[in-house]
Amino acid sequence: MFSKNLVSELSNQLNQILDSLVWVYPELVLAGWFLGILLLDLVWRNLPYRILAGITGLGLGLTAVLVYRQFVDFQPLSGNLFLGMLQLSPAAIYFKFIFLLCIACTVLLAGRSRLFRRTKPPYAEFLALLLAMGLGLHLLAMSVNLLMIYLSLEVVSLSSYILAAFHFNQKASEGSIKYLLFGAFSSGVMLYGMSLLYGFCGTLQITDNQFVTGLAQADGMAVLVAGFLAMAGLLFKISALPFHLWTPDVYQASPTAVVAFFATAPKIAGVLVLWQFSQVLGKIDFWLGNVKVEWTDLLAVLAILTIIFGNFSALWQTQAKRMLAYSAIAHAGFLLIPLVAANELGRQSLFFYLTVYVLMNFGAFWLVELMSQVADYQIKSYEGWGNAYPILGLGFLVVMIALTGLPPTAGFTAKLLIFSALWEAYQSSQNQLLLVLWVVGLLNTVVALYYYLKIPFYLFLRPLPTPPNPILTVRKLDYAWLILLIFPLIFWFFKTDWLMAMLKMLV
Amino acid sequence: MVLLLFYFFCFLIVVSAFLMLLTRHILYAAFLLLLTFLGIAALYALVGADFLAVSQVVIYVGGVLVLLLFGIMLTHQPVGGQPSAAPQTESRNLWWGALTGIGFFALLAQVIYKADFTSKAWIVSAESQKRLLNNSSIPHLGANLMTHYLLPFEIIAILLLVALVGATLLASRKS
Amino acid sequence: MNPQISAFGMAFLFILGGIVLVLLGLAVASLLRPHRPNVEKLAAYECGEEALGSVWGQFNGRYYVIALIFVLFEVELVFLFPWATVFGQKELIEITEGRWGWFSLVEVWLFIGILVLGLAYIWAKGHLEWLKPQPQDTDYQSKIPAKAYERINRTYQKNKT
Repeated sequence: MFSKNLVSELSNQLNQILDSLVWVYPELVLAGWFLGILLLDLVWRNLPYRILAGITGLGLGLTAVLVYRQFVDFQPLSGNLFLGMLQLSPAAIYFKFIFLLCIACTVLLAGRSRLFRRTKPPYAEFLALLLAMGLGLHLLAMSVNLLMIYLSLEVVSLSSYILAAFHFNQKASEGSIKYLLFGAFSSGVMLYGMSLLYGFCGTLQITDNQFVTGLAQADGMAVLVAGFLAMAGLLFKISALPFHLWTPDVYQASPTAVVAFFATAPKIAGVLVLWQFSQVLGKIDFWLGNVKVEWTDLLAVLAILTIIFGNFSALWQTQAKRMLAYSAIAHAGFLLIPLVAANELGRQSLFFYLTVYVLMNFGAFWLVELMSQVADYQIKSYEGWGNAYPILGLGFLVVMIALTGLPPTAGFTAKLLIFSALWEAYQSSQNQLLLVLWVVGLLNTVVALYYYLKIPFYLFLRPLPTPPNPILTVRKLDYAWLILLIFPLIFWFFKTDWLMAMLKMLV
Repeated sequence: MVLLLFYFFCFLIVVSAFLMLLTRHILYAAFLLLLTFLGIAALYALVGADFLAVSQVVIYVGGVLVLLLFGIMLTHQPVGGQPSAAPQTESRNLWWGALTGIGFFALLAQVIYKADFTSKAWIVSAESQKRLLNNSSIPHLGANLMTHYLLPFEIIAILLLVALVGATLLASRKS
Repeated sequence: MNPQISAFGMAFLFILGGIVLVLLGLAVASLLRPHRPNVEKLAAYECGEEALGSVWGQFNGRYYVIALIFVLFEVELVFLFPWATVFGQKELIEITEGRWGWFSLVEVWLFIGILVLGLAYIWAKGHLEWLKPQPQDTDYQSKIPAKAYERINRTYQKNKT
């Protein structure tokens, strides 16, 4: 009934699977905590947010400890898990930490947000879905199999659709429905592309040799189109063109904590998978007739369009969260630059950029949420508050400068690194498209200056409308978090080597 | 004979899909979708993917379509006291939509034509081993689900739970 | 031809036969029956009741949640079929010294366990409960005293026995 091959291999396969289990303890804990919180909510209804968040924090802490154990115990041979479904790498371990950090920040920010607390959403489901998303992100960072990439992306997406609607008002439903429709469309497109890729090479495992040789032998245009389609879900997650349409509406309508999370963790995971994907496809030359096209050319065109669209749309925004949404689109373009460069410096600069990007975004959204006590997310209503609360204003200034990419912040270092990586790639390949991308990227940084600095401008250079009747309460927790998020932004500018030394080890 | 059946079902799928696009009556569109799903299930059966064919019928025809019909019945409210108004859709951006659709179709058709799947090495070797086709594919699927695809199998459970929690949360919450 | 396709062919023939027979019946009937419609005949038949309003009414939202839950558990069920065919295979259990059985059993327990939690979730949250109509008390005061009814009841009781 079964082939001889399968029967003889079976015992061996079971052994391999059981051995793999040791390397997914963090994911098992996340899954367990997800189920546990749902169960807890069934037994004790309506637990206060504080307790549930504490329990979630416990799970995150435990996961972090286990991830750290992985980091210590890691050997190159221990990489291939579950018969080639996952592959553990130091980079994946590092970003697992970052994902946990993002979840922790989100839990805290949601707890701090008055608007979120006022609408009384179901807290247990909120935290459980965040943990499920964490699980999906962890798996996504390790996936080397198309099926696994798709499934973990779906876990992330499904949780996001629901979290996006957590204000439970009409606006939030609209945002969530848009998110769902575009998401369903792009994941359908992605599946189509993946099925074509499978047809070309007969394997789903992207690290397999058969995958590369299969693609290299297939027709150039077909692989290029299939590869682009297979990227759709990932481009959607990082909100790059042409799958960016959901971003502004969702950012505007969803709870700020959720938006801050969407802007960071899924983006990182998406870029990581894209990186791995383009590592494979970058090895192949595509011939369209007599014209040689490289995979990175496609990425370069996407990056140029994304940067230009994001930046120029952000110019017209008057609403802080919408502005940050377009800024997120622009940053997605910048994140594609190291992928275009596709060299060692590109890899390091990508990791550096992503690390800094998390801090900048959480800083920005934390400040926006704090300001929402006295303002309604309109940039205009920030007038004068910087003089009344200098520390807040200073925080805004640093974060916005970092988002623009100016010294003395790590945002500048990150941009410098990705542009030097791109320049290096241009030097070695002499591809004109890379030069265009380089120039567009630099010019757009200047454009970005205008809309990012609008916020500090209103904060400091406009008088406070007298008398300020609403009171802005800033707690010690806020200061502590802001310092924790913003201090590294400046510190890493002066001590870039400290972070880079660590990132260089993540081979 | 098999080829004749294949063309018959292809015809069924394409015609019902086209009519689905052309009709403005949502309920008719849903029933035409039923025909499309059934035709695709038949195509699966013709290539020997028996499990897939049955799942297609069970999940899409038996489940998803029913859900779709409920969706139409639930959301449709008789407009302006016009009791006999059947649920209908509007056509917007007809020409741009048609142009994009046809363009995309042409691109994908060219991709599939150029890909030349029948000469791919792995497909040729799979063709030569007709063993798989001669009996049911289900035990092989089962064995693979328990070994190679173990992790996806368990993740699907988590995914379904997330969907369950989320869907009931959104469907029942009143703002 | 491949035996599997012919097995599906049987099912296809049944479906085809069903469709053809129904069409045949309708065609024969249309040839034989007299054709004299009027308003009463064309009205929808609702078990003898007069049909009121349109059929395009709005359904209760509960149906949707139930259908949703149904689809999700159906998907779960589909995954269990392949498992069921290999779980108890003697050949596989012997070659792995009994580990195969335990292995696949634990896997499916996990799978079902996670979804049973889902069932518990929707049950505890009350999604499986049907909306019951709330009886409303009226403030209508009857002019006939309750005693009058009782007296009538009593007389009829007496007459019966």
